[in-house]
Amino acid sequence: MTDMDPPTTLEGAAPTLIVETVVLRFLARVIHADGVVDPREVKLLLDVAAGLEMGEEEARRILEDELNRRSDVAALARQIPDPDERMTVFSLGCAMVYAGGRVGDDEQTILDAFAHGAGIDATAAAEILADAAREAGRA
Amino acid sequence: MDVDHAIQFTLKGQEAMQLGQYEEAARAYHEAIRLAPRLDGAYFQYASALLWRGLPNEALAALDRCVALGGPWREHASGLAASVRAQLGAPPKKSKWAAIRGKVLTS
Repeated sequence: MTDMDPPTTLEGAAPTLIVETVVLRFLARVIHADGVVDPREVKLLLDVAAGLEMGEEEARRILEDELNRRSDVAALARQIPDPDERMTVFSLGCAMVYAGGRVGDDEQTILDAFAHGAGIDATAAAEILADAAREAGRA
Repeated sequence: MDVDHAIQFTLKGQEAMQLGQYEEAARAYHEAIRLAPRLDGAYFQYASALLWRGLPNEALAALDRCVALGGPWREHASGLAASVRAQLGAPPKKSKWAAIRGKVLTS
């Protein structure tokens, strides 16, 4: 066998959950928008990953990579096939902003990039963010 | 020779993959493909790095190219592409995201 022979199995060739990997990377970008890695935020992301039914080891691998090499958020948005689902994931990202504190310039930039990539217009994006603020008691 | 040079980049990519450095891995595999466009394993490994980076659409393009080359990695690429397409084509998981959103807002 050479280095370019195929492996015997596909194990580890891809994360177990494809769309969930996209979503987790987006949420990590949102919560680390300020560039500060807070252990409580990592814990929140791991809790979210568990809710997404991702294994902890796999989630940690993805999050560690995301912290070191930030994804293009618009590109992540384009990976989600269904436009309505993109909207729901954007709404989840908005909720994540409020879980992490407030909507600063960094957070807004990331949300705007996702909305742009997802094809969500500015008015709809603002309404979704306002809904999240209201539900989080920040409005 | 370009193929030998390309294989060196795939080794570099494998090291990065083992360290969980998927962006670096993807770049190394991309360079391997540039040097040896018929090296089918490099497309598969490039796709693998892209999947870990959360870029399944771009990964599928690489897997399809790997299949089209008809080399020894074809079956693996075909199997992985089918698995990725099945997940992307599954019914939207809006209720799943909404449930997580509820938990996040009350955290």
